[in-house]
Amino acid sequence: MASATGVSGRLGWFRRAPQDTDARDAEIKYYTASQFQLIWWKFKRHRLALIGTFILALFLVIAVLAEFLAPYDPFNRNAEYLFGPPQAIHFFEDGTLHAPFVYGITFAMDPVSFQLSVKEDTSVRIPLQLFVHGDAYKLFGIFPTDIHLFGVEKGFVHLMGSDKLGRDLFSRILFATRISLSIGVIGLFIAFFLGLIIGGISGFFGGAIDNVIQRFIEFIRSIPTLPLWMALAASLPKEWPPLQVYFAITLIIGLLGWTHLARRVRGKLLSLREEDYVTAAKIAGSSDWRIIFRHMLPSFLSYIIVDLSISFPYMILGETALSFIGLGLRPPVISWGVLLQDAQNVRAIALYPWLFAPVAFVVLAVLAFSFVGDGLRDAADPYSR
Amino acid sequence: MNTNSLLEIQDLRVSFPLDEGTVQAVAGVNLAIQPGQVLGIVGESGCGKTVTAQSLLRIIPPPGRIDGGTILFRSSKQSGNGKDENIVDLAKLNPKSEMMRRIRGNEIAMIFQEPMSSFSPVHTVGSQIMEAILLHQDLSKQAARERAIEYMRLVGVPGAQDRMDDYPHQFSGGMRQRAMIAVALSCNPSLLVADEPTTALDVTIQAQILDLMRRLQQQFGMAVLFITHNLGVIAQIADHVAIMYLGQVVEQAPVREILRHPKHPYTMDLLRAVPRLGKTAGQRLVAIEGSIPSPLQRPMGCPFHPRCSKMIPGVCNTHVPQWVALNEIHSVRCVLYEPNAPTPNLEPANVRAASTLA
Amino acid sequence: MSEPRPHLLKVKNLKKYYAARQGMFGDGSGTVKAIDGISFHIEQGETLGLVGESGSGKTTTGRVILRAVEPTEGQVLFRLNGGGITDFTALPKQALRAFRRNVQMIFQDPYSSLNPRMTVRDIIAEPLVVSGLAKGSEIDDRVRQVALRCQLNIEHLRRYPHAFSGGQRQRIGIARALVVNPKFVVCDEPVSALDVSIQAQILNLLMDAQQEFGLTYLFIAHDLSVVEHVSNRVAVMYLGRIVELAPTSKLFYQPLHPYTEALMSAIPDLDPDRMMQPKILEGEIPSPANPPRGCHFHPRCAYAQEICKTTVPEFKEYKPGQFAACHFADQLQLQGALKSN
Ligand SMILES: Nc1ncnc2c1ncn2[C@@H]1O[C@H](COP(=O)(O)OP(=O)(O)O)[C@@H](O)[C@H]1O
Ligand SMILES: Nc1ncnc2c1ncn2[C@@H]1O[C@H](COP(=O)(O)OP(=O)(O)O)[C@@H](O)[C@H]1O
Ligand code: SF4
Ligand SMILES: [Mg+2]
Ligand SMILES: [Mg+2]
Repeated sequence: MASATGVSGRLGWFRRAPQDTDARDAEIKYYTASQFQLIWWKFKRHRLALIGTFILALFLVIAVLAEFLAPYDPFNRNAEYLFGPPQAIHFFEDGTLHAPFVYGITFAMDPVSFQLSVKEDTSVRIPLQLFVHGDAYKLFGIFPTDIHLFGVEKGFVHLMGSDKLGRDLFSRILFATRISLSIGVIGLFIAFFLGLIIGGISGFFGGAIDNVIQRFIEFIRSIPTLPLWMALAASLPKEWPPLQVYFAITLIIGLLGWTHLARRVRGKLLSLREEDYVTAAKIAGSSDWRIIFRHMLPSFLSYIIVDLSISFPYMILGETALSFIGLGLRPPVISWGVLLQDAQNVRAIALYPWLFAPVAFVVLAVLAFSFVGDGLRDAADPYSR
Repeated sequence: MNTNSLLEIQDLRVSFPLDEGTVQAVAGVNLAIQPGQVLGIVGESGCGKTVTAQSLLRIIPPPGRIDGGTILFRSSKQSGNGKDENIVDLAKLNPKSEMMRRIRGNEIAMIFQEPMSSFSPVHTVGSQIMEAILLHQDLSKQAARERAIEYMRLVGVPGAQDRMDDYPHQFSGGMRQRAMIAVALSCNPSLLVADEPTTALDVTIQAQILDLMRRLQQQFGMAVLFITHNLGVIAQIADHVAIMYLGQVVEQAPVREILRHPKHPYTMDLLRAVPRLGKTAGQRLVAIEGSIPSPLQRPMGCPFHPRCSKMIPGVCNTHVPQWVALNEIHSVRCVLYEPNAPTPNLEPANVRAASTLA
Repeated sequence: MSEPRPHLLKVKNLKKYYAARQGMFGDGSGTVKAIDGISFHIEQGETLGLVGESGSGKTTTGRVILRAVEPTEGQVLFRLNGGGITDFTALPKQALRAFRRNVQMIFQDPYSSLNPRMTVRDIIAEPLVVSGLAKGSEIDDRVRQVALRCQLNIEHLRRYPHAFSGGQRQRIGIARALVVNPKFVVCDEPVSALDVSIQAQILNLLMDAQQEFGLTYLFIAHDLSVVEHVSNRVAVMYLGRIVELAPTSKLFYQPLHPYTEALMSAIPDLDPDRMMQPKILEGEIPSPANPPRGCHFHPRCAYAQEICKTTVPEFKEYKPGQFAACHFADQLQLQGALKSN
């Protein structure tokens, strides 16, 4: 409540320009800054969150442009290269710099174990090229084209190896990113919608309605999540087409995620109702509508965004877990969890460790979301004292 | 150090280096407390009262650090062969040293504005008082319990025996404050630092606590450093008063002297600005204009000059006033009382700077 | 004493009960009687001070009077400019919103009372906008006018509240209250959260504004010196009831209720030679969920008799303009904070 510490205290995270006039300008900029500017300034100072944002942006680009970024169609089989290990990109040969290239592949049968082993054939240099013609696709589902960001004109390139049918794992992971993220987004959307409505009703009306809703939420939350998911997912008819399964799984994941959000919305609404500025608006004669949209919504929007970003990893992990144990998405739909089904046994771990590559993406996505969530949480209330 | 002072702080400086600049929380504090004296520190929020108190106990929260100055403390603890006095500079001690811990536990005790924060919520109040007693006195558990009940009675917790086993949250604000005083007394300190102990309380409870502290202070003969922003409370409890503004003590004198013959313009203005029963009813108050500057932008020269009614352009805004002793008991930090203050430097730049800030 | 002025506000037997969240399962056993049947009036142009310890129901009183929360029972009647009487508590929604331009509130917490996501201009303009009193550029003119009156820098209107210190925020809150030219303003501890040197500025501003615009204040505070400074009359609350109401001059010299006496004896005097002799009150203020029977004050009262434990004392006028709720109000000789000489 210090008036002296007031301004400076909350300037806490705001860097001051060194020069006097600059300082004044900076101050005025700070004083006239809106909520989202303040949040952004504060967020920017959170390095991990920035890195997380960058990674997420990358994922977003991947999800949108998967066809273009992937060198191959995800179902394109390379019969010459089943369970092929990743090919390394090289820049040097005999100490001289080259444009990036991969080597050709030769196969050798191990005389003892009869295992086929794969060797780089250093006599064949296959240069990587940009904007090569490859498998045909429709960009954004509309424009037919066959240009890929990179690829090779002869031979093949499998940066993350290939699976049992010789499909390019790298391409498949890019396509899986799209599906897995979209499940997260849609699931979150459902959860958000339910959370906002149910939490809003609970918090705004209070009383008996509130009580009933809260008990119901407690009941749902007391059921362990994974078994519940499994039970619901297992009850999906086996004969459903993959697309329908996709939507059903999204729905299940979303339906179970709303409780947390509903609680937060309710809590925030209840505490906002007590804020003096809401009382002031009421006394001034503002309508309920104005109070909700002008005073309450803007101030909990930022909290909701934080919660969304924190819930996201659970959605993704939920999908991955369900698909991995075979209860979620099924081929030919490609998601991170579906890809990981190929890596379910010890043999796979030992012989084809690259099949685990999707795990790296899952970890990266979850971490990125957690970092962003962290940064947002710190920044969400730029007015905290 | 003065021959009989218990504590003497000279030119203490504490700063908090933060991202956006360095906060000079304490910018040259001078203070002296005699044994058995109650020294009140008054000042508005953010002026550095709490940080000054924290420096004594070396419990300044990070990233705060002592940049300079001395905190001389007369440490006198009963040892095996009689009384054993020596003067230590608390500012130079390692906060984690054996010596500092001993002083903190046995010679200087502290009570806070919000007692809840200094009690553990999961242990009973009684057990926490007992723990403090066992730390300082060689007693059996049973004896310590009895002693704890005794202390609870002493600080006026009704039904002390029964309330021993209550948890802090079962105590009201006033009762918690009493219990904290009991903990502080258990080590029989020679100096009690009380940081706004009554600010969070209602007047009737405040009166009880002040009454209690006055009684205990006399009974135990300890010195008290009493921090508050309420001038009335100071008038009621303090022998001597130090007035703080923006990290500096601007005036120190006996309580009657300072309330009746204030010397520093800030003290004078402050005394005029408070409503007084039976004197100011219905009248305008003489307000101090302007607001307290941000600690990141300390004014040059005298920190009070932008708001001061007696500001001398060209002096106050350029020259940092020195700590001047008017006599043995009254010291002040203002150019008006500085025997060899610089003559006004009336270069247009200085005058303009002064007027825009004001 | 000035001659009686017309009443602007009359509060009749006002009550506000909350369901108490008690017990292990929050099963709402019992009610908190935040205010329990209070009646008083406020004259046009005067300041009625309202004092009491925290939890005694001061804020609730202010809010119920302005219908920021709905009363459980009772009436709030307004009579503006000597016109007809409006039963504020009975106004239907539309009429209520229309009437609100006449009454405003200034809050204790300069931080929570301003929406941090709106510019100062929008904050001050809000009552004007929602009441439809001004349109377009009139709004900006009027906002600038009050902002200037409240000594705000009008170049700062584009800024957000986070740019301001506590004292300046309080000025913004005052500007918001004054922008619609209200008749009646509830000031809920407007200076409690401010530093001493800033308090005087705000008190001066409030008193000047009252003079200038002929405002009527309900001035809530727990600092008795502040209340004495601003009020014409003072009401003392204890556990949801008004125990004494009297002109300021009478109350501080000759209180009629033992609680008022105790409260006054606890004011720390600025004169060190007038050592306070607090009537140490036994114990602390009981919970309003479970107030004592009879006179709420009896467990802490130095003058309590048998009757106090069983019978609620009537709140009535003992001396001209001096109301009290104590069985012995006309017998006790109590000490005020001030002595007449
Ligand atoms: N932990 C801290 N971190 C940063 N600044 C601090 C901290 N503690 C205090 N300060 C700063 O030091 C100054 C003095 O604070 P404090 O001693 O708490 O004031 P007071 O107790 O007089 O109200 C203030 O400007 C405050 O912002
Ligand atoms: N919304 C509420 N719900 C339940 N109890 C409340 C509510 N508001 C106030 N009270 C209770 O009513 C009593 C009076 O509160 P309040 O009017 O805020 O007192 P004051 O302003 O005098 O400190 C307190 O005991 C408080 O706990
Ligand atoms: S009625 Fe009785 S208990 Fe209440 S204040 Fe008067 S004397 Fe005290
Ligand atoms: Mg402090
Ligand atoms: Mg209140």
